[in-house]
Amino acid sequence: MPLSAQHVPRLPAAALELAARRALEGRRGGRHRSPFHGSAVEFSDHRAYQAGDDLRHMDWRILARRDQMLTRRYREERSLPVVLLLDSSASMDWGDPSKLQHATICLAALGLLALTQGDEVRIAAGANAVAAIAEPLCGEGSTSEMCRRLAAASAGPGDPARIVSSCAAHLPRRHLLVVASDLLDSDPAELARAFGAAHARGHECAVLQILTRAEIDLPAAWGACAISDPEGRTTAFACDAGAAKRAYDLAIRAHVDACARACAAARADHRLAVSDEPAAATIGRWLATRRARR
Amino acid sequence: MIAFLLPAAIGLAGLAVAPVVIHWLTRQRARPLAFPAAGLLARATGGLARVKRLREHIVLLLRVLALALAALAAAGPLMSGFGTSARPVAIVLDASCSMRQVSDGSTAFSRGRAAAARLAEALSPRPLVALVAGATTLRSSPVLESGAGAAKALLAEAQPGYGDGDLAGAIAQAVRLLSGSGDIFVVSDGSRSALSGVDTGHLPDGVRLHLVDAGGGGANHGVVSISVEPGVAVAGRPLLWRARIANYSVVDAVIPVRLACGPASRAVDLPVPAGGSALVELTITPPDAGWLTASVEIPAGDALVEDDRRDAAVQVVPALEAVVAGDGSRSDAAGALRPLVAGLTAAGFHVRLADGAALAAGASQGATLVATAGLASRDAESALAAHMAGGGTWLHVLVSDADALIRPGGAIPPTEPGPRADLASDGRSPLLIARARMEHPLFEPFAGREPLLSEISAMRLRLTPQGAAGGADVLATWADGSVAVGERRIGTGRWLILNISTAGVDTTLARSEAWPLLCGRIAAQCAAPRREDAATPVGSSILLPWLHDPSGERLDAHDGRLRPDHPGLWRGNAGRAVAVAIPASESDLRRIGGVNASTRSADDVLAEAERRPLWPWLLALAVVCLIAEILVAGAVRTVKP
Repeated sequence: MPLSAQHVPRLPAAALELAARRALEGRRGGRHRSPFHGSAVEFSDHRAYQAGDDLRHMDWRILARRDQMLTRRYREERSLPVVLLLDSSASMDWGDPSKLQHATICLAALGLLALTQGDEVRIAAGANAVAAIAEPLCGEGSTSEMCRRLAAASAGPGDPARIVSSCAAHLPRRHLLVVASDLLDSDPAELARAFGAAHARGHECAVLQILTRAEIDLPAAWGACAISDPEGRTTAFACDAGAAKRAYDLAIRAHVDACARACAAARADHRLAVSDEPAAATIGRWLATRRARR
Repeated sequence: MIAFLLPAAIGLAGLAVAPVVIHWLTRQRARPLAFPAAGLLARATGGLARVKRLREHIVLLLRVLALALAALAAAGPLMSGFGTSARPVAIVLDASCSMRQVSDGSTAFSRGRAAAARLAEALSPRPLVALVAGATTLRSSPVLESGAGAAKALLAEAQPGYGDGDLAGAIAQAVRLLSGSGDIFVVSDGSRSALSGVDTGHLPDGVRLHLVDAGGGGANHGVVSISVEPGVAVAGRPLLWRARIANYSVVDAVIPVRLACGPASRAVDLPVPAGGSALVELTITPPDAGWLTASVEIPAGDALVEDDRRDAAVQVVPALEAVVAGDGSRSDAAGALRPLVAGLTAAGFHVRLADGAALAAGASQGATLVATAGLASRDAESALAAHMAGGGTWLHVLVSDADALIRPGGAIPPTEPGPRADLASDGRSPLLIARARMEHPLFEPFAGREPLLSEISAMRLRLTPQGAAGGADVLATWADGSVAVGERRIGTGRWLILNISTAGVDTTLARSEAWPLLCGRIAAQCAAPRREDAATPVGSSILLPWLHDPSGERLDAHDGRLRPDHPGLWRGNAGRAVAVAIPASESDLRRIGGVNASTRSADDVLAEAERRPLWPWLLALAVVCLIAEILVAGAVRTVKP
């Protein structure tokens, strides 16, 4: 699927900010909190003076009052390391526009925002998402490369939970893992375990669950259909359209709710998106919600 | 065992596959559609689809069942089961003469009796009564007994009669005995005469009539009547015997017939069409008065031999007998009787004079005409009724008011008595005949001579008759509109009322030329032109004290009446002869037809009588299936996830 930088909606960086809720380990200096200490303006804590410490960081007041030599430490602000995980399984390539297109544009918009903020962006997409994680992209000049990597995602079977687990284990530092997937074949319990493990490793996870309008609200006119999923695995025969729609609507709501609960349990952010909405609006509302919760 | 009233309707059960075909033709065909959430959809609707599919199959099954059951119900299934009913039973055995017909070496009666006995045995657990419908009597076993011992005994000793067997009366009696509920089995040969008079459509609702076939229906030829012409045989006058031979078969036949009367006889080969009849005639002139007999024979060898010979007997009178009777002064030589006697004698009658008492005592015996004038009492009413019932004529001359009040046998007089008239001081007022029906045979001689009638005058009575009554004819009227001459048929007899006193002081009739002409016409008409059958049917009532049957055995009267129970030439005192013959209808052995009167074998009838109709239950089941189908189909349409 060709994707150029011109197609990527540019989000207003002044109004929207991609930020993590926890301190992540960017490699470059930036404006996001990090677990590292260094020269910065935000005081972190004291520690006992050691030989060789810069005397400018000696807390002279405490020395004067208590006769105790302590060195002042400051939290270092670094860039935000973002990994964009794109589920490119066959089920994503369905709908008009397809969920894969919508997910790609959403992630591209998010990545562009991150690049604009000076953060580092990694792309993990396709059947071998973990192996495809390459060097991070930095700066707005990497937008085209980001788009190329996203568009080059090869289709294939992929389980978001397993991909997140693999990424979390593979990445050496704490990252913000943004997953775009329909989660239709995902087991909420597996999702909870995977996101929980990633959180335990220090990563922050966010899930953008993308579904088509038809998947959220099954068309009543479908009637009797021999339905199979794009991967050709399951066939259902709904002979009573009304009853089938009612049953499916309940089931899909229950599944989305279960996914949301699983994410919440693993401290992962969950957002449901419909593929026929503009990607900018989807990402915009999501980021606004994240900022409000922070 | 299950039988069907309309087995062809079972074919309708093929319609039961119609719902399957319609379902197959109109079933929703799934169109392939890719859907990422197919797994979720399958999990969500899988159970629902299974329930719906199951219900659809149930609906289909119910529709098939409803149609199949309705088709089976239309076929009218019956289930057999002997002895399961407690309905009372009446077995009526036809003992008419036609049951004597022979086929396959046995008579229909013997076969019918065996069938009746078999019915009695099979139905003995039920209250049962047997009736034998014979020629003269209806015999019945004790009412509704269990075990049927008396009924079987009655059937065992039953013998066929020579009469027509009153099956209608027997069935009516059976209905009474069953008190409106039960089964009546009529065992008969199924001949056309068997059920004549039986209205199967007017039986009580609770009574079912079953016709059991005793076999028969063979081809038969028979002598069905011998008529004589004129109806009164007069010595010295020619007499015509006419025998009717019937051919009750399906092919034309030439039947050799021998008709004999005394020394005269005639033998002919008579061609008779199938289902028709032909006549054989023999004319003789009896020389003397007395009893004359005749016989007709055809060769025996057909199914029924009893109708292959028929006897006939008529009384030959020396002349036409007339009895002129009257009481009181008006019957004397100067009264009304004298012109009567004179006129009737001139017309050829042999006139005997009598009074009312003699008439009541039987003085009219043998007379073809009884003329009365001025009877003082009503004692002779019975004798006059019997005279007319025997085909005689009563010339009722109204001389006094008492005459107008005579009612023979309670019969309606030809004319209604008029209101009492206010007459002149001497009680009389003269009238003239104003109008007469000239086309009537009585007035034939007056055609062109009408003044002969219009000049007749008479004194009217206080109770001068008015218009006709009871369908009588008014033949002539007086000037005031009252009746002058009226006529009424009483059976084969005739009641001729003459409202013209023949007394010379009362009328000019006796002095006019009209009177001899009128008497001549009365003589010509009072004797019946023909007697249709000169034989009496078996079982008829005869007013004689005794008779000897053809074998010489004497039969005495009970209550003054004789009922000969077998055919032949019976003899009484003074050479009197009575020919007794089987009813003509018994010769017709052709079978009855039609759905309501078809007969079947005893076993078939018995099986059907004991069968229980299954179709109401099948119909109810079909309706239940239909209701269930509607309910389940509605549930399928409104199923909730």
